[in-house]
Amino acid sequence: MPLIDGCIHPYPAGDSSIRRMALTARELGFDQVVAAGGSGDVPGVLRGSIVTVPSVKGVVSMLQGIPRGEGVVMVSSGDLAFNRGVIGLRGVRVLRGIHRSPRGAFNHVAAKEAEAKGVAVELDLSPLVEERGVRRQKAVSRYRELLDLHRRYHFPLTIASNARSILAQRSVRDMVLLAGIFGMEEAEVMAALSSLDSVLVGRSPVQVVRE
Amino acid sequence: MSQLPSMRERRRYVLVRFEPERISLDPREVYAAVADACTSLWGDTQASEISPSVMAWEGHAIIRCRRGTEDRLATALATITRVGGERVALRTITTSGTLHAIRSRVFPRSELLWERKVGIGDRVFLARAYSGQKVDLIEEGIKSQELLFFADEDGEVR
Repeated sequence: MPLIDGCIHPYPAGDSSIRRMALTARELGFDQVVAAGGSGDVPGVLRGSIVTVPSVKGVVSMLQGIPRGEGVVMVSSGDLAFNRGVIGLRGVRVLRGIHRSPRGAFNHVAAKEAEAKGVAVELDLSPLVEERGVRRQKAVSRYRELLDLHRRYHFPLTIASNARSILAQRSVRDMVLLAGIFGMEEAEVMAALSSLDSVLVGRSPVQVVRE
Repeated sequence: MSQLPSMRERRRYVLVRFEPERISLDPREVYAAVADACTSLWGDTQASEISPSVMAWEGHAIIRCRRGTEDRLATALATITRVGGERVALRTITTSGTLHAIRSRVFPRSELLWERKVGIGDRVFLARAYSGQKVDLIEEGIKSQELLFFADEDGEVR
């Protein structure tokens, strides 16, 4: 399974071109990266679209503008009602920015729905790298809660550097160490880094079970 | 105070590479950044247990720590984004129990292939191409010298 950095933000959003970030990602042990707003013609780069609107209605209308099957659609999370509404939408692959949402914005009900719909929840490592003090502590505590839910309800997780520069990209080993801060085991990190592949395939309404 | 060899603390050495490669950093500032990252992430007690010390030179640094704390040190290194006001990343290459072994893992800097001026929009940059398809752009000017990172296939630097 390919190891994928869940989201990067290349030039002009950041200071590094998509090709340079893809080169750096390869050096750091990744097979692919998801580039927000990036083109899909660079080897090892998946096109990503970030939807940041405050209402589910707004997300629906934004999704209509994105061709079906066109890369990874990531929606910035909100409160619990918003998150549950978004998880149910066709085409949404990743719920991102959970650490910025209010406490309780992703509970056991949302976790069950995410598992049923095959929607991944992003663990953004940038607050662990760039923040200090209370902000980092909040992110660590939110990720710990999320990890508990993941262990219980098995919804997919993705891990993203959300780097805007090659200087903010981190290696696979760094990600294992950083995720260890909130108690994630190495095997769980590797599973999260390779989960996007199966999330993108999606879940068919009918599953064939071999006996 | 001298100690019997058997009573001496066991040390581990972590080799790190700076990115951007050609940046020259003051070892004291590298130490300050490492100590600050350890304290901020792990607190005073664990930072004193790690007890980092830094030996830095062009492009690389060797950071010494107590044996058993190398993972905590590497985690703290991953949280460093600036050294002495310069934006930088510290890439951990390897960990070893002896300086001799770790020195053999230092690899030479990328070769400078060409250097020329390029314009992006109304700004002028000095583009430096290195082996491995990397092109670093340094903005020319007195006020702000933005640094951009491109690859040789990017249209902006062709």
